[in-house]
Amino acid sequence: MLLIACVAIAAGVFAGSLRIGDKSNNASSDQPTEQHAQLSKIESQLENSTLFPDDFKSVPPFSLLQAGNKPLTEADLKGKWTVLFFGFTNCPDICPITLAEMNGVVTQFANETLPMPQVWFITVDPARDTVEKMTEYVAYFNEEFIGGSGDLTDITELTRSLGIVASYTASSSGDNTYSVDHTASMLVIDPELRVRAKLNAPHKADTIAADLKTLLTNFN
Amino acid sequence: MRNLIIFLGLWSASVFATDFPMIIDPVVSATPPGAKVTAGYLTLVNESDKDIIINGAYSPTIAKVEIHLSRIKNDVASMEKLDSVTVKSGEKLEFKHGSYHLMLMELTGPLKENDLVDVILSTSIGDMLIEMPVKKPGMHTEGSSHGEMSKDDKAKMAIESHENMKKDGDMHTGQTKTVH
Repeated sequence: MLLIACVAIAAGVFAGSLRIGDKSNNASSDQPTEQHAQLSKIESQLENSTLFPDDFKSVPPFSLLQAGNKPLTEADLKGKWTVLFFGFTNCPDICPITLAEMNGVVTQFANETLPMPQVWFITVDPARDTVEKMTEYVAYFNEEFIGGSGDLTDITELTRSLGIVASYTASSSGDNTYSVDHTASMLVIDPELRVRAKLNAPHKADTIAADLKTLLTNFN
Repeated sequence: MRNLIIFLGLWSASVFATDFPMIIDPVVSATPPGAKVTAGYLTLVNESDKDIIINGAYSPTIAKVEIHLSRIKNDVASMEKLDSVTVKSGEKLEFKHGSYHLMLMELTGPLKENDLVDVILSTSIGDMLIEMPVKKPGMHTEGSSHGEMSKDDKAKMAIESHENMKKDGDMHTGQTKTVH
């Protein structure tokens, strides 16, 4: 840990001296280079996440539902860090394990001064996943987690804008059910609604906690 | 190993006990409220000289049990039903998170921690009944951060527990038996 800090300080000093040099030579390309260097530095500290540039993408306005049929909108993202995961409750393997790992992350943040990001699990299968069902489902893993549902059109609009995939396939079981293939990674949204990073699968509590701490420390 | 296999009828007595795969760490994920599906995990170790094909699975208490394969490809999680899987001679096959799993479907009620679920695997050498304990998801999975043992540790522990069973003749824990 100490070593990382030392390397980070050294890298910072080095980057600082480079920046001064850059300014005198080429002022026009200074800012992107600086941002690039900063992002590369943060990215190198991330264990299993992809970092996006500052201006990559923001969460657009949306209108979904949460516990008690209360609205769940982009306003609920403001001022807090959020981990956003899309899935469905008829998912026996990936979704429950991912939420269980996220509960493990909460445990790892218990003694942190950094705030634990809120955790949202939004269904991509609202026909079967009502808001009541989502609420009960997420509470099983952690009472603080937020479950979201809504109209399929609204959900699709949100997933598309965020680059989240949800594809509905006939169940190979031969009955009239269907399965949903969906993006396995989770998005990290900053308090100003910017999509900052993607937590890549496979999800493990230790790695996610470490990466979230890196993001929060660098961008707070 | 031999002690773990209970012969329930004369027919199955013709099958050599050692032909059946050893079962390590069978577990079913407890279900969140409202969940209609869940996953079962286990490791099969085939110490025999023949490949063993698992052709399907069923349960006296669960409406439908299937063999599924989860995959994450290009960041998309998908799942497919498999008609069969083969446990090759001298090898092991892991049913684990993000890979092969038993999909327990059309659940009519919650599966709670410490429940036991009987699942029967239909194999090329006969059916085998596996008693699967129910545990909270994430507390038992491959690569989770909850003090997972290495595979070697697991295998060692399984062998030790078999040895102990031989000694005290306990047939009840982690048992494997043939059924018709």
